[in-house]
Amino acid sequence: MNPREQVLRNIRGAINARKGRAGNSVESDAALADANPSGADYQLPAAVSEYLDNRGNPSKPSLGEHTDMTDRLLDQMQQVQITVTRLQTSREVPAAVQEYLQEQGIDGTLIVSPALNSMDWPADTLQGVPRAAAEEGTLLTSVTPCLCAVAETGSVVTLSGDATPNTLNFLPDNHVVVIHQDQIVNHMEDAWKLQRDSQQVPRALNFLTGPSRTADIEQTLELGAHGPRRMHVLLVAESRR
Amino acid sequence: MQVRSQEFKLRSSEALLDDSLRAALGNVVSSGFAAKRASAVALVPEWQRIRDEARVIKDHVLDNLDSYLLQYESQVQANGGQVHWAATPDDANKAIVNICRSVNAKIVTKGKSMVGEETGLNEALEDAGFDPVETDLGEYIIQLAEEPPSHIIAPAIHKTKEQVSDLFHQHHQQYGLQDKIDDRADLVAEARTVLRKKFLDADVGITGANFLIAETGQHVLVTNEGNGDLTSNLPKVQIVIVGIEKVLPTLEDAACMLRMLARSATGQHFSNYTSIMSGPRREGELDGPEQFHVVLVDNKRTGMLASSLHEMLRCIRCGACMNHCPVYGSVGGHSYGWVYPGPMGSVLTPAMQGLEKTRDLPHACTLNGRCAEVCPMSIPLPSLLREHRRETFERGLMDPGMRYGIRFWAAVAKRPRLYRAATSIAVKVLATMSRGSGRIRKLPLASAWTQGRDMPAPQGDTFMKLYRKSR
Repeated sequence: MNPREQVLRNIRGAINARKGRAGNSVESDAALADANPSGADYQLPAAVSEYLDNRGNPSKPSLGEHTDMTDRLLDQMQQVQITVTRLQTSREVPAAVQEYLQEQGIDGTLIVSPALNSMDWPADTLQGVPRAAAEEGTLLTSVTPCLCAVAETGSVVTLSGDATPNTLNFLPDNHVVVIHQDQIVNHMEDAWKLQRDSQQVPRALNFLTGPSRTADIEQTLELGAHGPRRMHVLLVAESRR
Repeated sequence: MQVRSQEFKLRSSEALLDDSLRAALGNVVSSGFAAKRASAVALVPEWQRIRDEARVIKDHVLDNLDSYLLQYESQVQANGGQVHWAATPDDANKAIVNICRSVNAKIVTKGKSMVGEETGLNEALEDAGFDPVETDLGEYIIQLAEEPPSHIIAPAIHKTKEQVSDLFHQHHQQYGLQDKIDDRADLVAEARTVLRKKFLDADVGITGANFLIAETGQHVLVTNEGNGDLTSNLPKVQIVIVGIEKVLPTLEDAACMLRMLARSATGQHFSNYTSIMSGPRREGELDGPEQFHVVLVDNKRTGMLASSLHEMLRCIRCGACMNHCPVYGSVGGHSYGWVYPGPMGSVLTPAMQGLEKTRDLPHACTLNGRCAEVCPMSIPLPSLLREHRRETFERGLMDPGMRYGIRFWAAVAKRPRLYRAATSIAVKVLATMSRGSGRIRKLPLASAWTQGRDMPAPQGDTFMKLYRKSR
């Protein structure tokens, strides 16, 4: 028996044993074997699908005293050391990035997501994936769009794709994210809905909830463990489209 | 990894005398994780409802585990990934070593994986000639120290800043470090610099997974450092090693679990990086791995599924039970002698390694019940420990003194007249032994007990006599 057959047989045997002890009818020994060895195109048994279709809606945490989701989001972001600048239109984004870099005294090179390349960036701005520059030890600040921002958790959510390489979230020293007001959603479940709208299952859906951190030395918080040391949000009032 | 749980008594006694361990563990139970958890949970009025739903989801999955794993497998394949099944730790290590060989890997970066600790993956990779590098800061520290983790979410919780400084000084001279580093932020920066190069040079990246989503073939990986994402996204080959019990039906179920996980673990509302991934780089994408593999590990989990310990398979590895355990807080994780410490470890280690070598673990518990109270998955940990105790006794695995002691007590207790006569004699003898001081300093056959404390002497008659008098 290969490990796959063995594990599946063990699982079915275990479930059977418990059913038997509870006085329920058990499967025959033959039914413990696997009928679909390639694993492809598997469909859940009807009874299981039916259970999933008929169970009630899950409970979600209420979002506190906030009636405005923008307030809730900003509140949560502040708690996880995400800084925010509010803008009216996306035309203001490049200037706001420069202003942020000056304010924080950040040197180094700007790298923007291909999805934002139509904006008016300085001539020495990099575009695309940060790997080569990171290998040379260049200090990078990335600017990326996002799929949505979740008020419940204070997270920015990005979706990987042709124009949105997700290593821009992790390799640079600083990460600036552009959020449009109409991209703010209430709960995690709203992000799942947006994922399902995309044609295929994405390679990566990333919830980013503050700059990288660790408390692995004496349970004391330090920022900038492996990912970005700083995370900044540009919240644009104008709708995305 | 070699199990050393048979040395529990010796190692916990040593741990109690270790001043730097005392300092490191000082605030885990009182003011650290436990206090942070309490304030985070207090902010969610729906906590108990969500907790009840989490339990229902997990029980449903365990009743249909084969179906959900098959659905997950099918979806991973549809996303362009490969699924490997492992009945034993050896199956898992072999599958991973074979993948590394097939791409001529040298450096293998690793995100923290408790299943990887279970299977002894690092040793297997080293034996096969690869260079595995742990990238979670805590896990990196204990890899340098050549120690197992002492906590499932804070593996180096037993180390002081000075010890970390010494380890870096000893091991980082090859990277140009000359002076000792005193400052905590500088230690983190030093690890960042050294590991950054490893992330970029790695050929294969291996992580665990917190949840698998059957509906979409995705897995959920939660970290605070971002090391899991750098490990997953940069190398040519991405491997996920995960226990079969981690599968969930849909993304909605993952939302329920994620609401429990960070709050229970560190008291955060949400972990920094929650990543939901599946498959290799898609056509047209500029980054991401070229190959994606998942290794589904059984390692005695199906044995637990068949047994009275099945509820343990709801565990999401948050660590709340150990953060609230007075025994863990006193003796630390290493005393438990294997990968998993604390209450969950005392249930899992005997189930995975056999009671013969681990019979003391189920007794390393005062049955105070705090672990079960805070467990987000409502696992009745004290009952499961009692289940192990019962089996230890039934199989005759207890040490003979204890076994005969319990038999003797049971024989006397079942005969009321004998019991009353014996206790009334004992009361008089003990009262005489105290010589009127009210305390007994030394007791024959119980010297281990009286070494640390005095026994209070009986005051007056036995309970039964007093009871009869007052009636």
